[in-house]
Amino acid sequence: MNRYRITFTRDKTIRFVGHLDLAKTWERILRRAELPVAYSQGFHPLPKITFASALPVGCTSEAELMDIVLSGPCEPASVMARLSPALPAGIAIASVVEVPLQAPALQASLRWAEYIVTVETDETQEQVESTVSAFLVALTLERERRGKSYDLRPLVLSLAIESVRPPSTQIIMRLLADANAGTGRPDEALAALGWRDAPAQIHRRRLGFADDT
Amino acid sequence: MNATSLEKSLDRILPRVEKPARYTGGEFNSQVKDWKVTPFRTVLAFPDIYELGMSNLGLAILYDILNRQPGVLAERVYAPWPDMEEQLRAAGTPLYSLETKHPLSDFDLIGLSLPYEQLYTNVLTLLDLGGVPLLVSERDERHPIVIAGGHATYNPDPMADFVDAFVIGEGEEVIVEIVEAIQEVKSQTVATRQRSEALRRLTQIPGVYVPRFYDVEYHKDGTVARATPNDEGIPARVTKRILPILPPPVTRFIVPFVDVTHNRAAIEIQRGCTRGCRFCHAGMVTRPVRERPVDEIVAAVDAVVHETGFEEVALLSLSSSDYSHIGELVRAISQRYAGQHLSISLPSLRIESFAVDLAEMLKDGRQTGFTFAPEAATETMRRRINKFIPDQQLLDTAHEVFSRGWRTIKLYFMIGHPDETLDDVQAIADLTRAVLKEGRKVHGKAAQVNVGCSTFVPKPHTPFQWATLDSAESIRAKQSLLRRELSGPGVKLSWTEPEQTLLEGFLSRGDRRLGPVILRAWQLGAKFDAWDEQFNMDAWRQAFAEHDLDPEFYARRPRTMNEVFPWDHIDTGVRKKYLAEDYQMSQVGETRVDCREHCFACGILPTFNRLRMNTPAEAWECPPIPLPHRAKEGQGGGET
Repeated sequence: MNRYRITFTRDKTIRFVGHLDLAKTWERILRRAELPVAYSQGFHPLPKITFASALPVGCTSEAELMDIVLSGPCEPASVMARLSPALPAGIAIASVVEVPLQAPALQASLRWAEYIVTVETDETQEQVESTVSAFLVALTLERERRGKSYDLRPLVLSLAIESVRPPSTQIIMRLLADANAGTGRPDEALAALGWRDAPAQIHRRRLGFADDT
Repeated sequence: MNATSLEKSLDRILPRVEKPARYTGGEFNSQVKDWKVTPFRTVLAFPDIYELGMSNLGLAILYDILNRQPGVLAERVYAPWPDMEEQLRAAGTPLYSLETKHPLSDFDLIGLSLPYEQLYTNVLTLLDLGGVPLLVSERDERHPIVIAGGHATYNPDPMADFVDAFVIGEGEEVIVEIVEAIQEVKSQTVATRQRSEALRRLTQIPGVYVPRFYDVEYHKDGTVARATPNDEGIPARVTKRILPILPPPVTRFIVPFVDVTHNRAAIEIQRGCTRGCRFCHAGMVTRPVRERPVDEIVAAVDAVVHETGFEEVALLSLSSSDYSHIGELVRAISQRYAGQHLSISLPSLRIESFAVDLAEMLKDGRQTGFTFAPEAATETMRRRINKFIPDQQLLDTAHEVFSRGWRTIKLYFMIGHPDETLDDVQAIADLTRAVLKEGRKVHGKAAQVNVGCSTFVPKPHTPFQWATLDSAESIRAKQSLLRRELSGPGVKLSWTEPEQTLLEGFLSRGDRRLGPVILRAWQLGAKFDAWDEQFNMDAWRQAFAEHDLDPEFYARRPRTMNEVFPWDHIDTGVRKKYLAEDYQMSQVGETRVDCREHCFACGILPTFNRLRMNTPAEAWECPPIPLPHRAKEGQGGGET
């Protein structure tokens, strides 16, 4: 068996497709591509496909990562060539590389995710700066998620203003994405910045892993 | 509104609605043709939500056929759920096609699928949101031509106010003829006369019914006196279209991103049914039976997997066990796909142990339930409906199912058959208990029987078209009996609300006078009538009252054998005389065997005499009929 790491992008077309539906979409892509995907053993065999991190619904991304296990070796270039015609609109493959079968699971070594967010707001440079710094100096930010209270502050690793050009502002946010320590959600960070209802485009541009330098 | 500003508006709307992915398109195998350079633009519309519309095989077939035509594009639209409708209206954004995001009013042709009557009000929502005048009489050359097909349209007149032309029967060939005819008229006629010319031209295509060319007169008592053509050269009756031989099945199905009702590919293994169940509309209107060859089906499964990646393929027909080569087909497919993680479903199996053998061959590690449809539980009722399965056969089959590992059986019954008594309904409960007992012998408390108990609705073009819908009190009494008798662990019962049944009842056998009632009910808020949580009977009652009509007149009035029906000018090939005979047999408990074994002269062969002669004998499952009979009837195809 051989394991391959696929980096792919998700554009606006499929921004409302949830994680489970995306997983099923990938199963079908692989079946169309006629790649020999390995299945788990047992009563309910499942294809060996794992994702680094679920992309929040409504977002686009240029940095989605997944691993697939094939039952035999195959040139990464040819994996990519087989996949390309099987892709639906909205998904494109950036790269395919082979990784050791025993490498740690993507999800286990994931640490953070970085988003670039474009918000529709008339706020000025000063207003945005003060909002962002007020957020960053806070020690805790108690919030609720599905009726449970949690602290949003430690889930936001950094916030940076990319540009303020009313009526739109761009913020880069690096959020915790750690299987043990928690996962920050860009919409929750936006709400805490006072932009709960402002139309926003949220784009994931990077995932950070434990072994990244 | 152009496509860019529409997209902009959607950016604001979609994050606010439930399941927005059903309004965005982009699915694998969806066909996006260049709008600018494609001269003829059609949109196929399913008047219910995306999840149901994407599961409709008829539309998948037409989408494939139309998009293969050069110079023609076909896009899709489904009914927006009320939250989306509200957002579209608030934003002043029209309902649009999924492929190129054009408002429905921008298309040349709108093709509606109407498989059942509860979709009628949603048709008005689609047209209204799409910027198309609701009434045929309000449309002019700027507007699309609206056509409709599907099983409900065998009684088209209730929707005659809203639909320009109906396709009666199978659509594969006629849809192309319709597109060609409209294109030709457009290229040869001045703009102001294009619409009327095109509609007139459509009347010349066999299988197309254009209501405006027919006048309907009524008797004082409200029954139909006659429907007659009001112009030269219009056929007195419209005979349904059929294909003499089924073409190779569609394999390039659109693959949805989100979960839909039937999230799988579907391959029709045969069309039509020879069983002759008297309540069954599909069984009467889809004759004759035509089978697809085994190798064609196997090749189609191969192609489907490659072209779609679906993990499930359903082999569809009205009665799979009757497919002549079912054993061979199932063996071939199960051998070919063993260990390939592909599941094959085979619905509509007869109640016999062979069905269990078939299902076992197809079982790929998945333990899903087993479904049977005995429909009735006493000998009297079974004879009446012409579906005869002895109790012991059901119990033996159930035992077989349970002992080979299945834990759940689903049983479909129907209440409200003509002259049914509470004893007949008690028997449904008793039989269900007996099936559960078989299950408990094998699985103990883990055994489960799910009972789907619908209420019989008399349908046009069936032997029961003269029958009355059971009274509301009687339906309620029968349902409460079942609820009482089938409470407790191991059995789950579901049923249809009597008001829902009444709606289906009056729409099924309605006439043209229902047009204004449908419009008014819709204005009063009726929509998604097939959905319990949206269903609004008060709107319907008020609409009926305002138009001085009575739903009971359509649903529950006893009909005399010589009554002219609102659908008599639509010819399914099965004669009214045959249906009447069958109805009378039903009243005295006489049954008819499968008509593969014996021809009862339903009328299909003489109606399609010429087609039959030009088609290889083995292509239809009709047995040879005695010659004198054939010669006599061959003269006047189409009489009733």
